[in-house]
Amino acid sequence: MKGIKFKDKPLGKALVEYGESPMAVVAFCIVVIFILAALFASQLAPQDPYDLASLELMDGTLEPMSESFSGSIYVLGTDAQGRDMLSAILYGIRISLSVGVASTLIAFALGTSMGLVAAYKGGRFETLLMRVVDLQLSFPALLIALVLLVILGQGVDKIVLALVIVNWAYFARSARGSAMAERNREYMEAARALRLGEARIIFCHLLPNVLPSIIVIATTMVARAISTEATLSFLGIGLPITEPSLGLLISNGFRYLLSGKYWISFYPGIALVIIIVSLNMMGDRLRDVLNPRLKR
Amino acid sequence: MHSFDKATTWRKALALAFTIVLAAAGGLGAQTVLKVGTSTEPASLDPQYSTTGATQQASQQIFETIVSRSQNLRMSPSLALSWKEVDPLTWELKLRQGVKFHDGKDFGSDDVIFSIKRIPRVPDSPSSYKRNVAAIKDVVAVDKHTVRIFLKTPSPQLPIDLSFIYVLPSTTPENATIDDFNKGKYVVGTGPFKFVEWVRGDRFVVERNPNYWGQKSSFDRVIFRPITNDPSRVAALLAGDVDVIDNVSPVDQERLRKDNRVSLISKPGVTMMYIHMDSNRDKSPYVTGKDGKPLDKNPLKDPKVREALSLAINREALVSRILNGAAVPSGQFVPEGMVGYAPDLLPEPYDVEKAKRLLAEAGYPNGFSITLHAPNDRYLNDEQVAQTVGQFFARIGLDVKVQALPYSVFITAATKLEYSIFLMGFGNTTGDAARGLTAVLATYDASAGLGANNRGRYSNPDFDKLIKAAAVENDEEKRDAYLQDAARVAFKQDRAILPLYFQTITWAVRKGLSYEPRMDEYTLANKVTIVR
Amino acid sequence: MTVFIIRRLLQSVVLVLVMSVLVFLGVYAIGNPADTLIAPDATEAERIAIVEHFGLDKPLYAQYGKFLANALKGDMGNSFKFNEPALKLITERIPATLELAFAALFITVLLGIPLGLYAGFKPSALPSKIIMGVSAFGFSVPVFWLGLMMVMTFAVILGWLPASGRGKTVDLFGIPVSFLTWDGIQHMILPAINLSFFKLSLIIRLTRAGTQEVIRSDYIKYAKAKGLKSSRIILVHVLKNILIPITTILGLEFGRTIAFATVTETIFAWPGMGKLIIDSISTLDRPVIVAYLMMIVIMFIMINLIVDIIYSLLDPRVRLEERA
Repeated sequence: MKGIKFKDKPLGKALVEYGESPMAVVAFCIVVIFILAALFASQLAPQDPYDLASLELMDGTLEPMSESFSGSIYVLGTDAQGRDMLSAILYGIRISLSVGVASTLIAFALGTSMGLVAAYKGGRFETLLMRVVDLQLSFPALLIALVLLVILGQGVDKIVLALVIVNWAYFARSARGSAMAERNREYMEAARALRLGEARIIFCHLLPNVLPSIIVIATTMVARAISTEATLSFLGIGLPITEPSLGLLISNGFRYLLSGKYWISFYPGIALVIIIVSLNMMGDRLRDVLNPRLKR
Repeated sequence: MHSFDKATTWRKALALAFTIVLAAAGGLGAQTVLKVGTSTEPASLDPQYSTTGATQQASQQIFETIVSRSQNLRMSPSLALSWKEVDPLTWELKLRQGVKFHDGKDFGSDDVIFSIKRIPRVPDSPSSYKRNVAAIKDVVAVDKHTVRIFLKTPSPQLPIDLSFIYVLPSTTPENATIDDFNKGKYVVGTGPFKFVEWVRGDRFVVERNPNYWGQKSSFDRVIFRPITNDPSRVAALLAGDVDVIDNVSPVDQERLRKDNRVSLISKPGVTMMYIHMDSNRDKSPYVTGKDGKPLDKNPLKDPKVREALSLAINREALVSRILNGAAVPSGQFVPEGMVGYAPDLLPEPYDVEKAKRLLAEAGYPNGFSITLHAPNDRYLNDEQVAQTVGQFFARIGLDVKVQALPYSVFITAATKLEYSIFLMGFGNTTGDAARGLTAVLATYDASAGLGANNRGRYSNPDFDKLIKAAAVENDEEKRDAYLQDAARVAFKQDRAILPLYFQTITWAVRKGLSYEPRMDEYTLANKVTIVR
Repeated sequence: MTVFIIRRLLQSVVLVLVMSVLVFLGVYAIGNPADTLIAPDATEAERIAIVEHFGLDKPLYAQYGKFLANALKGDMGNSFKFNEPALKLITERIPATLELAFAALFITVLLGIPLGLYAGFKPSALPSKIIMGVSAFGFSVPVFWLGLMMVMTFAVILGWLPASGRGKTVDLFGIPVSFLTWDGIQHMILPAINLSFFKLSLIIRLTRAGTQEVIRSDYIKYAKAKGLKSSRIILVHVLKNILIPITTILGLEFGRTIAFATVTETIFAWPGMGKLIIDSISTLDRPVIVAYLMMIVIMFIMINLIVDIIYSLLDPRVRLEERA
């Protein structure tokens, strides 16, 4: 009884539908595991990788499973500074996930709503917004990050801000593009004829129809945000080197790939690939479930 | 043309072997081409435009300086055969005879005079050679191959200055623009190679000067390709795209050492890396108590604290672990063999217990909090080095934050004295301790041109006196003694800065080639030879 | 339409001005160009001379005013570092970058749309799963990592392709291009793939998403029910449905490729504009940064203008007049 009732609610319906794809469920579980690992990194990690005093230089670039100076085991090896890679990865996941997801969600919300309003209203507002978008797209992430670094300093929140500034225009442009085709469709005419409120038309009628293609972009943007952060860190304007993200771990260890010390870059890389693939699979499924036009 | 492109790695190796055989047999008409992958690119081909290393490296292939710097930065005859002091304000140079410019003009006194006088007239240079002619009042020709230089003030460093003056033919038009040079119009020197073409970002091509007065190159043509990314440069060498690469990073050396297709050539360089401290102000922006509250005085002002910091650094481990051995620990400004080197100033030993004791004596038994700043795109593994130094400081009980920033941001803030303690480097390109000591440690005095790099504002009158005495001393030995004494004051008594190490520079060449490494880090095609 | 285009171009003038102001403020905030330009061992007097020479001691508005006055005369100023006209430095490098960007776009469109269509039509077939797997990989792998791995595999180990550089160029209407020589094409393959990998993954996904939507829609069901099996009809419908998001993304990505192919150009030592801009930013060579970004703004305006026009051609429901 209860099950049927739950199934009839829109959210419950979507959840059940989501569960019909086993792959999507696996992806969801993986994402949950990673989120938990990120949340409890400080409890799970054998070492605090941010505490310089706890890093033993003599334990630098040890292979996975080697014994440390003081007798404990480095399961995934260490980097040049003697930082336990397992701990660094757990902490790194926290930073990368929060940077990627937070910046994308904010940019998505901001960009999409601006784009939709622009497409719906048109006129001066559309012109002004789209020119700001043009300007924004031409401004390199590098320069934005550098200016923010000088004005605000280093830190995760500053990187999120930089990525939002860089990426919102992308969403705005995409949402407006799709919405331009939708705004003259029959259902929009109908909604307007019914004299529904503007906000309601935009967010209850226009948005669901524009959403599918934007969700695809959004899930890829999480990946792009994480790798942009990695590139910024690689270029020296990202996060502090003593608090590495996954991307920073990869780019630091990257230099050791040629000399055979694969583990410094390989394991963070694997972690990154698993997260992003899972997030994408979740995104794909969500899109299918939420798309009004795919409803039977 | 027997170039190495368009072949597989395998065939390229064969091709190289083939060219070596040809060269050994006396070069049976085939053209030998050398390809060099460089980490930098010149700013211009006007040899008097910019003193930056990248630009001088290009100039050195085509032009020659009046006095030359040997691989160990000793002054040696070049276009000038000899130089002597007639009186403290007059020097006489004897010039080499029978030298021809690439366009056929005979080299003589007129060219030296023209080149010296042209330097102040080169417009808009961000890094001008003017300082190398600052002491010169006038230059006159005695005869076709003798010139006299008249000075404004006595200058024992004149030969060093002359080793930075590249000689152009006196027929170079006054109104030659930088664009003319970059297109190769007036790129005419006396050096081992002639200009062929320059495509910025892609290639710089020169060919052998058959009339060169010195050792002629083993190669008919040399192509320099700028490959700024370290791993890409190594890959280009391994793929056989280039035959020689410079600035091999420490981590890549490990891999190349195992590869029998290439050999590595290293030389300790002249860049000294050090920790600079805000040692003169009563309050310093990035030093606080461990609770985050400001301290009543600046601990870095206390020589005991500075000594403790120095003792906390394990230089041997830093060099072997973080730089894979590509550095030499240092206890002073210049490496052995340079003027001003004090043999008794050894690298500070590593002693954590003593460091802790000194901190306690200075009144900081529980340490304090500090932020160490560093550039992250300037020196060999700079970011890692800063992090490791931070690790060492943490070991003696300090709370340390490490902030690595792009050089453009870092240097602006450091110059404005916004930092408390930071990592920095200085290149002793003159082969002499005077310039480094004067720039980094002399009491800051803009009008006298002293202490331009003294971003910690260290100041000790005894030190200043010794530096000033050395500046006007013509007797080499006395000068050496003054500089050594100055070094003792700064490094042993005051620990004004904490020397870490000298960077080692490494080249990689394909088997069958050899390179004569230089302290000044230049990659000179003329010094690449084929070994039999 | 004409009014629309003219109005858009007028707006772009304002935008270019705004950009130049932003760059001036940005560079001013980051640091002092004189400090990065002078020799590390320069004396204070030399430093002051440079500051005065470039006018960096004057208030920012005065510096900007001087720049604007010269810019109106067509002079964008000389590079601080190279003392050559900034515009010349940039234009020298345009062909190399454009060539690479077009090659990447070519790969993206030619491979991305067919693969995406396939994956959309047969979502459960094994090749589709492989395509989707690889495309997910395409997002997760950092560009610099992929680039170097390709160099190691194809240039160092297999020896099939050159590791870096642009190779032989031939002049076409006075512009050096490398796609006309075999050597040039060989040099272009790896950087072009590296540059297109992310975009390819994105386009595959967008195409697949659009396809799936259309094949489940009513008119296709209706057509199928009527016995119409013509895949041509489906294709037409599918393409109609996906072209708007794809055109948007292709436009944006093409712009980004031209403007900021920095990482790929650095790894493959490709003599394009991306390397110039990153070097200019790191030395705070303001005239080059300003000129470059003003040019990039114009480019993005043009691209987005073209994309907007394409919208209206693709879908008659899109009307271009901007209601005032």
